[in-house]
Parts: sequence; C-alpha cells; structure tokens
Amino acid sequence: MPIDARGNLIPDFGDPRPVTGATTGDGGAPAASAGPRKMVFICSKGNLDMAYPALIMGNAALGEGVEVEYFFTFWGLDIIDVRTMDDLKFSFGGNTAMHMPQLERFKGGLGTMSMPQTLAMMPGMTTASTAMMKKMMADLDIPTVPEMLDHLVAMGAQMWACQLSVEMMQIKKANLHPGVGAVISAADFIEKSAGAQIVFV
Amino acid sequence: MTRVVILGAGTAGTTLAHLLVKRPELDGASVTVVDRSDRHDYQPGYLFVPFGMVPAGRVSKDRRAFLPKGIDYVRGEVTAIDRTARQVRLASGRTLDFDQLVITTGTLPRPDVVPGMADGALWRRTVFDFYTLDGATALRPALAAMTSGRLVVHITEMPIKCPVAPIEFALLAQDYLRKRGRHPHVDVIFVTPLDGAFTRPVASQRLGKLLAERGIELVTDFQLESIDNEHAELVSYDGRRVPFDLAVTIPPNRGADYLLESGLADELGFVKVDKHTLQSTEDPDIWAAGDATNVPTSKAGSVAHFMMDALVPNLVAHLAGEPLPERFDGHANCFIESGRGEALLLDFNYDVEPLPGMFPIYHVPALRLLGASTLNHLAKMAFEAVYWNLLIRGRPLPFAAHMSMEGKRVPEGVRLPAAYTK
Amino acid sequence: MHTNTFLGRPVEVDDEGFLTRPEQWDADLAAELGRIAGVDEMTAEHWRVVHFARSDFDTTGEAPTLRRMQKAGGFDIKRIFALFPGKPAKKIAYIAGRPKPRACV
Repeated sequence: MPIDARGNLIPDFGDPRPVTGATTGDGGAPAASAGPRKMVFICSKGNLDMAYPALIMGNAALGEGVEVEYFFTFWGLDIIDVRTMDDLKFSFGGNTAMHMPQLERFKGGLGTMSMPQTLAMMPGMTTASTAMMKKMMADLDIPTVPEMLDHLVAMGAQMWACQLSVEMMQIKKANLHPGVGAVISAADFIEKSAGAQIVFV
Repeated sequence: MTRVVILGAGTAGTTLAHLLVKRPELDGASVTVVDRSDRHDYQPGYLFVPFGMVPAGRVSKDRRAFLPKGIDYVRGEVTAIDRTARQVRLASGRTLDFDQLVITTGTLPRPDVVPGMADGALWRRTVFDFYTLDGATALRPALAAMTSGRLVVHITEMPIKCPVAPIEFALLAQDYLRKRGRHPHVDVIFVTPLDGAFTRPVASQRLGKLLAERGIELVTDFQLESIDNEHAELVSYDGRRVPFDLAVTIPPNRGADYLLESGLADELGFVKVDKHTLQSTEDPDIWAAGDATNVPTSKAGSVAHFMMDALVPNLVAHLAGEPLPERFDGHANCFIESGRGEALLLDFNYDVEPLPGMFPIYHVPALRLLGASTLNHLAKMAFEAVYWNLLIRGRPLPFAAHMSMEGKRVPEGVRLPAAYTK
Repeated sequence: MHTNTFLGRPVEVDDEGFLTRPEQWDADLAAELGRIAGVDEMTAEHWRVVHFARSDFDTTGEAPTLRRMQKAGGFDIKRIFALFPGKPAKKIAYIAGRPKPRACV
C-alpha cells in the first residue's frame, strides 16, 4: 500500500505518475504501481457458464485501469453473434461439479451433492438449468450477455473475432456485436497480444 | 359549373376521382383527370419483380379501366400551371381551365441528377433501380446471375417514396440468396444517408437488429456524391467509398419540374401544403395529396388513402365557402417484407412513431406491429387485390383514417404527446 | 486502522486508505482527495458524479459500480473514464469519502 511522504496511507490508483499530496508540497514518494497492464481473454466456448467468467473478469480489469482485449474463436463466437448472444445455454452434462445450493434447505449436504449425469440428458433439462443460472445471475444484478458486451465496449474493451472460425461457421461481420472491431487472423492476434497476460477460456 | 382538375391518375388521383363523383355536392361539376400514360402500375409490386415473386406483367394495367364513369380522362404531358389564367397547359398545346386543382403527380425517380448514375457505363448493367418497372424487370436476371461478391442496396437521399422498400429489398435479397445457398459468398450491404435503418428511433433500432441478424452490413450517414463507374464504387461527400459488384440504388425522388416553376413546390418539387388540411399554402384553390406533397410523413399508398378522408370534405367545404372541417394526422402504415415468408407492420403518424404491439381490425388484435409474422406477409400479398378492387376505387377499408393507439405498446423511454396518453 | 493527516487535520482511514468516518468528509477534503487520486481540479461535472456516488451509497449501502452510475445515475461511462482516468469507480468512491466498491459489475 503506498504511503506518501507524510506517512499517509493512500490507495493504489495505479497511476503511472507519482501520487503526491499537493499540500505537502515536497514531491511525495512514487506510487507502487507499474505502467499500464494489459489482459487478453480468448473465448473459445459458447456455453453460458463459459461466457460470464471472461466477461466479468474483463469488466473488473477495466475498472482497475487495465487494458482489456477479447479474441473470440470457435464456439466463443456465439457470445458476440447477435443471433445467439442472448440465448447462450448451460448444461451440466459433463460437469460433475454441478450442484444446487437451493437444495440445502431440504436436507443437509444435498446442496453440495453433484447432480447425476444421466439427468442432464433429460428433455428440457438444458432449458431448465439455463433458466436457473440466468435467474441466479440476475439476482446478483449481473447484466445479460448483450448488456454486458455493451458495457465492456463503453468501458473501452477491444474485441476481435477469429477469421478462420467466422468462415467455418459462415458468419458475417454484420452478424457480430457492433463492438467487435474486426475479424482478424490468428497471426494478427498473436501480434496484437504481445506483452499481454493471456487468459484462455 | 365548377371545374375540378386532377393532375395524375395514380393511387391518390384515381381514388380521389372516385370519391369526388360520389359526392352529391359536386353534382353538375366537371372532374377532369390528366395523366401522361395509360398504364397504372401497382407500385408495391415492383419490389417482388426482381425476385420472380410477382410477374412483371401483373403489375401494370390499363389506367382507364380503373377510373370512374362521369369524369373526363385526358392523356397528356403537363408543361405548366398558369395560376393567373387558372389554366393547366399540356405539351400538345391544349389548355384545361380549372376552378379547383388537385396535384397528385407523385414522385419521379431522377437517376439523371447524380453523376455516374444514369449517365454511367454501369447503369442497368451492374447499377440498377427497382422503383420503375423497367428497372425492376432488368434487375431480375442480374440478381439471378449473382453467385458471389458484394450486393449493395443504397438510398441516395431522403425523402423517397416508400422509405421501407430499400430495407425490404435487402432482406428479400438475403433470403433469395440463402435459399440458393449463395449467402456465404455474397455480402449484402445496406447504405443509407440516415443515421440508422429507419427515420424513427424505435423502428430504426428494431430494423437495425433485424439487419444484423440476417448478416446485412449497415453503412449509415452516407451522403452520395457520385458513382465511380471505373472502380464500381459509391463515393460519399466525406470521401468514403463502398465497392460493389451489384448495386441496387434508390435514385433521388423529386416532384415534377413544372411544379417548381409554378412556385407551388419546395426545392425538391414537392407541393407545399398545410400538413393537416392539404390545401396549398400558396393558393387556396389548389390542393395536393399522395407522394406529391411536402408533408412530413412517409410517401406511401396508405398515406394517399388516409389523406382522402381529409381532402375530400375540405375541398367540398371550400367550394361552399365553409371552414375546412377535417385534419389529416400523418397516418401511415407500411408492411415490411422481411424474407422467410414473413413481414413486419408499421403504423404511425406525425406525432407517434412506429411502436410494437398488435394492429386491430374491427377491434380484434390481428396483425403484429414491428415484429415479423407470416400473417403480415399474407396480408401484404393480399393487399394487391385490395388495391385494385377497393382502395383506388374509393371503397371503404376495414380500418380508420386516423391512427389509433389501440393495441400499441409504448416502450420505456418513449415520450408521446398528451393527446395519445391516457 | 490508520490515521492520515490531510489539510492539517487527522482523518481516519481503513487498511487501504479509504475514509471510515463520514463526518470527517467535507468539500475541501474531497478536493484534496481528488488531487491525491490524480484529479487536479474538481469541476462541476466531477462534483455531479461524486454527489451521485454519495447519495447512492446512502440509498444502497454500497459504493456504486460503473454500471450502476450509468444505469441509475445516467452518466456516460466513457465520460467517467475521462473525468477519473485509470480506476474511476475506486477514485470516485475515494473522493466521495466512501469505502471501496465491492460488487463485480
């Protein structure tokens, strides 16, 4: 935690220039933070539970003054495709960690018991679990995926779509959220992400 | 004997002729209708011709079969309106005296006023219009031959007749290409001088979303300077260039030249009228209706129809020396073909922008507003028969001339004038 | 708990330097906190944001996130980034004399 020349405790605002108590007039001590930090999220999955972590972390990073870029590839394109972005799904098939905290009140321990995998295959189960997850997110005042994208763009996030995936899925640039700057190749992306911390989702 | 002269026997002029001969107050008056051609086109049909959805031959009929008995029909090109002599002059040298003159000459597409449009080497080769039957017919084989590249749908300037038709064309073209499996190889681009897909905010946002869902790129605020025929590009005044392999453009729409010279029209050639009474602001014995006016609502057949409920009683009252009783509210409704066998419906007026909800027919919520449905598409296709048999013959249609708020939903953030809120 | 000295008077702050005693906050101190947070001059526009953050804290008990400032306060996010560069939500809460925002979005 930065301390200024008078021994005052100052929050870390991450500014590149030294934090100075102007009234102390003695120049103060330099802040602890380094230069601008950059994070890049590669979103390769279009499930609801794979979209949110990257969007929420990116939002937090932007709020902390970190430069944020997104690269959407393969099924991750569903997150930015206007035809699918508000209709991402969640299934607990293949996700043995899925349990329902809501069940705890019926029997102690039930809330952490993992759901039988065969249940996930039942008709309507994906719809039901998607609706449940969306409600849980809404209860926590987390915006929908399209709203989240609008918000990220307003905060200054840059977004790119993977050219190979776009061609493979027969998607047009016009199908994508207006915040997506361009459809770029993998090589362009490697160049753009130089020096960044990369998170693959 | 009172002499009423109607210039133009399109949607507005034909309907008006029917309504005037039915009025007992005008018994003994003469009604003369002037048009330069004997063909009456069902203009909404132009849109379907390039896609082979409606054969070109069905769009155009003999005008005389649709005019009422008891009027004089004169075929001729008007060259001037002499307001001092109360005369209309024709190219043949003939003159027509009038006591009351109604101008229903519509709009003219003017590809000749844009450099590189009508005078370019690509005109009717890769640059087409579809606001004329010739253009729509010529476009059909060009579209059929397009297997890859950029299809640019473009509006040169506003106002234009039927402002939704260009969007409909883009949506139908995308659907046409999709059905033939060419959509991955053809990009459809919609280029407009407006800042969005439509003139009013709620509809603009919804239509913008629809374009995005169909993968149609939207280029806004594009003020066309010229068409570069050498490079096949649209060029804007701010230097932007939109390349095309096939361009479907809406040329500037203007009023007739002699209207400008008569002093009755604004700089685009549209007759200056009181937007509620439809009486000329320059001359109390001159009126206008349909696309030929400068009123701030869409130029559309439905508007011409709704205008009649104000124009006819006002004209009759004016002849009797009474105050004008009726006010036109700017009411328009438009079907928007969206492809996939569906259409959207817009219903709006001067004060209320197009809103979502259900459009009532005899108070039954029947047609979805601002949303795609199959029923809207069927209604649009059925309208062709309604047009020839009911609308231009001045027969009543099952909805009121004034816009109703019945069935409409007001989205959050939309403000309406007090008269429309309960 | 820590005591800072600003404008010659003691101000109690938490472990990260945010004010803990609302009654110690006033406009002069806010201007000083602004300078520390890199806002050299508090304009009327800055004050509108800060006043919103204070009143919103009174209603919700939480310092507002950027999304809340946009949704409930009607502020433009890009503008907020321009006014309070770097870490706007954190800086606004600091200048407003409120604790650090906790919510993620």
